[in-house]
Amino acid sequence: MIFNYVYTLPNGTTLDLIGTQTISAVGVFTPMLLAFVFFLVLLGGSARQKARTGDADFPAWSTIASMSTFMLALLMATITGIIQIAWLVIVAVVTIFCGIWLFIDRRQSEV
Amino acid sequence: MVYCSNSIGNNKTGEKKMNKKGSQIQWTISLVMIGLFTIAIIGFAINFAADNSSPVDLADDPELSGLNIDTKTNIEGFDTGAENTYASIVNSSISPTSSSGTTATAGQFAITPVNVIGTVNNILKVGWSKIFGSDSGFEIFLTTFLGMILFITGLYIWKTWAGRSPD
Repeated sequence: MIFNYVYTLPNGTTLDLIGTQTISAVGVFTPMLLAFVFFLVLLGGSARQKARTGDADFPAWSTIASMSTFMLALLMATITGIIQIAWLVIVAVVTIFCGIWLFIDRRQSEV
Repeated sequence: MVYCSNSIGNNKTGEKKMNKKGSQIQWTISLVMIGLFTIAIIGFAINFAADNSSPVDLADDPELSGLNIDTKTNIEGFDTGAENTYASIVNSSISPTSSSGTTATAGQFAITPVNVIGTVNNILKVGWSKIFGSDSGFEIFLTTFLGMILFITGLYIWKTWAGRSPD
């Protein structure tokens, strides 16, 4: 072998198996993927809204971003070994807190 | 990248929000919505796991399951609380401070009796059960929404009668 890898390379035939093996080799893959999706939606959405309207609605974008992450985390929960319960709980709690921010931020006619 | 950091560091929005006037109805709606949102998120995750036989289930976490039950209890309590508040507003009285003809009760302004809202509740329930099925966990949204309408109606009646700002 030319390279000495510090982790075991995935050696599966199905997509699920490759995903599970990758995550068991690099444990931080799942939270980093979720963080990537969260900030992609949050920063991308709010930056574009600011470019169009001159102002960005951060509570709304954080809620949209956290719900996207939440849906992804739920899909990951259908296969053993992709996501741990601790990460799923953190994603759920972040989603709830983003919702609290959104609803506290709104006026009565905006919710 | 420069643009992104500018948009994050900009606190124009924060300054504007601080000047925003808070109000009773706004806060009540916000708190009820927070409760419903929490129930929806946790309930959806648990039902999603149950439907798909997920190995990782949010219901395995005792604290979030407890939070779900507690929030449900609070929201259901809001429903009864809203009805009692409405009744007390309608039955309340203000003693006239002058002879300018101030009415002594808010009953005259109560143009939406509870029974009328009950009719709307029944009609909506039929439509709801036809779309989402009977005994659905989503029913809590319908009853809470109607409870909120009742609460806000009562507050508007009282605030109009007492001469307060209707917010």
